[in-house]
Amino acid sequence: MMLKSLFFTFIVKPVIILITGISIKNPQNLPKSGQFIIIANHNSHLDIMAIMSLFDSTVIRKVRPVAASDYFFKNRILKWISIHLIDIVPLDRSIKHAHSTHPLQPVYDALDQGDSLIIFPEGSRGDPEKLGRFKNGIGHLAKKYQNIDIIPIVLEETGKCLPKNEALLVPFIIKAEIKKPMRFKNYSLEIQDFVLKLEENFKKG
Amino acid sequence: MSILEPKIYATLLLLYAILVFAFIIYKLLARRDSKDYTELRARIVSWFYMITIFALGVYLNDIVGIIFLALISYLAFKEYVSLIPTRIIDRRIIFYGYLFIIPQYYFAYTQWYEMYIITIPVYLFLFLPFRQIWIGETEGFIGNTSKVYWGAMLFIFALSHSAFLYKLEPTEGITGPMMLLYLLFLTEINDVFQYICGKSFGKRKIVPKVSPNKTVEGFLGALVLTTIMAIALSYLTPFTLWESIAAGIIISSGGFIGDVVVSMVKRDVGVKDSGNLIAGHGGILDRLDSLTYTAPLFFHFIYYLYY
Repeated sequence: MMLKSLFFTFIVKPVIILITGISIKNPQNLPKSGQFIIIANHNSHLDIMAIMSLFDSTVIRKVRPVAASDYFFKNRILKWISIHLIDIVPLDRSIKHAHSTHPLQPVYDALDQGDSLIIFPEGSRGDPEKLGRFKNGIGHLAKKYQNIDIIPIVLEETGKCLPKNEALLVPFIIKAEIKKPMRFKNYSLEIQDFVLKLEENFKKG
Repeated sequence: MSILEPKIYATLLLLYAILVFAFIIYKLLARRDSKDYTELRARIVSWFYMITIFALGVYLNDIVGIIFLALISYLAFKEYVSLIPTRIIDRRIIFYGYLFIIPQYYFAYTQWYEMYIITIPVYLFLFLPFRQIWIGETEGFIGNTSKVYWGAMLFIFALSHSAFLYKLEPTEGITGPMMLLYLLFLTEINDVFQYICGKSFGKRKIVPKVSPNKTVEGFLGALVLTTIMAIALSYLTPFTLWESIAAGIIISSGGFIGDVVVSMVKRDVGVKDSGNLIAGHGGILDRLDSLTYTAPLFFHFIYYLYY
């Protein structure tokens, strides 16, 4: 993943810092090593870039965003970028439960081989600056991997910079608030309730 | 390569000497008592970076210098639009604020004074409402058009006077880069003087509702000290003694007003620092606030007298 490190160190980071800028709240909550799952609200393509720009080049190698393969593999250039530069964990949204493999199998595989993940529990990019309902998948994942920290990162302004279905980027300083890590085992909650608990991190004041 | 001019590199070396002196004072203070001086240290270290980046950005090459000054405007305007409350729909007119940085600094570069002086005050002013018609959102029309226009005036138009000053024809052997250095040196050191004088013998608050830390003593102390500096540094200008005294007064009082105006913005929004770009200083607006007033005031002073 040499290419990925170079891409993030020399392209994504400088672009994010110079073009938009990023203001980090509670940077001490950001993990420096180890395995973790980042969950964030999703409004823009900038979200992945902004989160990944928070990490050093040594950590970034093992941080992979979970993304829908129907979108990111839709043409060859995007597919090449997604695989080699961003190194996504492709998720096939079309598979139904009746199918032979579990829809979250690629995510399990990635976690089993020690990778860290970025997950957007709302599923797809919602309306700008509005929080959509979290899917239960994140709850199942949290229950299955109870010893991995889940770190909520609240992003603001990315939806203003580059909203869904817009090509014009208008720079605003991105705000990223890094919340305290959470683990499923520390709460005696049902999956649905834990998902609600995660969602609470993203509700405003 | 204006950095090779003796007057410029000597002044830059003087700045570094002041920094070294400040660092020694910090060390002595930190040794003498146990108060926390980490912010003072961060400030001094940041000054070192700022002066170095500025010297390299502005004094190696003319075109790079103008691009560098335009970039500063860009960062300031970006910090401003990120600070104030805006809606998604406003992004389209904010975009034109950014876009107008290009012609504004281009006209500064080519020294086309008439276009330079009307591009933002007239054309952006007329264009923004037109663009609003096209978007068609009437709610909040007056408020958000004004916000964007005001920000463009302060952080693009006003700041760009530094770029026009930079490219001015030499007069009496004095070049634009020298006068820019004079302006920036005095503007920033005036901030420092206000802070030091205010801390040392500040009693009466001057604008209690906006900046509780600003005092009459700080203001007057800085006025005197900055004016003395203005005379001492007048080798960077074509000024006579009386003109440099006037320049000192203009920069010191203008710097104070710019500082308080940006404080009003921050008060309105409810933040203390405008950002966290520069360690110990806050955002870039916290460093450029005074310059938004001193750049146009000083420029027009010199332009009236010598051009």
